[in-house]
Amino acid sequence: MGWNELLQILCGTLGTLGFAFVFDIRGKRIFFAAFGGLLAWALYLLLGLFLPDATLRCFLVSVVVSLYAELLARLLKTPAVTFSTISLIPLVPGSSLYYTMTGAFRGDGAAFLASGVETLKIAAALSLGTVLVSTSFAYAKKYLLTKKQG
Amino acid sequence: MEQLLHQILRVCAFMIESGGEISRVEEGLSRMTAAYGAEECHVYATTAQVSVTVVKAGEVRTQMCRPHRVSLDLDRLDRANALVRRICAETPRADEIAHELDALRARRPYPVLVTAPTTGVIAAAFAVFFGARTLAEPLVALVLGTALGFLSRALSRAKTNRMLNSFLLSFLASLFSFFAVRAGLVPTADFIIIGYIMNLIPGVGFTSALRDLFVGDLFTGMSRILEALLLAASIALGFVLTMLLFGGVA
Repeated sequence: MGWNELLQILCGTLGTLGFAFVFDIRGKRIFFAAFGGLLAWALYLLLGLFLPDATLRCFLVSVVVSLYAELLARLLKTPAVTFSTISLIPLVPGSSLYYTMTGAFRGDGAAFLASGVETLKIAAALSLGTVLVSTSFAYAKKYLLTKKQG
Repeated sequence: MEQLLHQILRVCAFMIESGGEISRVEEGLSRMTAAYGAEECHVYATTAQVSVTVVKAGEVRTQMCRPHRVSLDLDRLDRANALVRRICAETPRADEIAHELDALRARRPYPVLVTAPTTGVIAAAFAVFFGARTLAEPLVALVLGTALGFLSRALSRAKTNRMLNSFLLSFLASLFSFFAVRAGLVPTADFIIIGYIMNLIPGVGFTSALRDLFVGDLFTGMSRILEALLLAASIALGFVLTMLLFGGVA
């Protein structure tokens, strides 16, 4: 891992920390949300060493970060979205969504299509990862509850 | 019972306004009405409306509540969530719920002296994240972001149209970035603009809209996707306007 990657991780974490304030997180949760951002981007870069496909990498990172969020949610008695939303910010397709629309206004069909597909792929991968983990947790909880009562 | 149901619905509307997921709100509403002994509960929630019909001891009641201006606020969501848990556990009276909810509504977000510099820090951090390699670029992004952070707070205080706000902020950001290039402060405007745009672009909104779709809340998901696309379009338009004025500096 070179300086470039370290700088990226550092800035990604700093940006994530900023968003923790924008979306009004309080107390020690700020730290955990920002740490999730560090985890997310470091893992994304690490997976890049042997997984060239960005969509698949985003899905895997999303699963790991959502697990992290669900665990923290139980420890800190806070909705898991607090951590999963913020921690995935370095991966969220903000820039490609923007390039999709500038492509449209410039009349650059190729850029519009390429960025649009990219945005959709990444956003779908990230949200599917979160949904997979959160529904698994919900089913596990239901299963344990019925087992206890039965 | 009428008052109680109304207050419970207000709690749900508050959760939606704070950015709570539809599934969370619907589940919370069912749990709360069950705690007060409702035998049946039919809930339907979108980002624009929460409707419920409850049946208790042969009595049927239907009410609705209208959430306004959804903006993600995780502290409010956290506290609303805690309130739902408390309501389920202690079944307080209607006026007690109203009192708690008013206290939550009165909570202030971070002061502008925190949020404006934060906007600057986010702009600077993402400028470097996306590839800026001179010291001047993040510095310009920091100053620009902080200044626009103050303006952004003033605009959202005035409750002006969100699309228009994004358009204006993105226009100003690109305008000043191009000025910085003309003045010879920075080699290129690209990284400063995209760094600042990260503050405006609804990347999180778009991703959570897809999450709504995957969970099965199709109406909410679709309306959130449309909102995200329109916001992104207004932001892009702000940038394109600057480009037209400058004759394609980018």
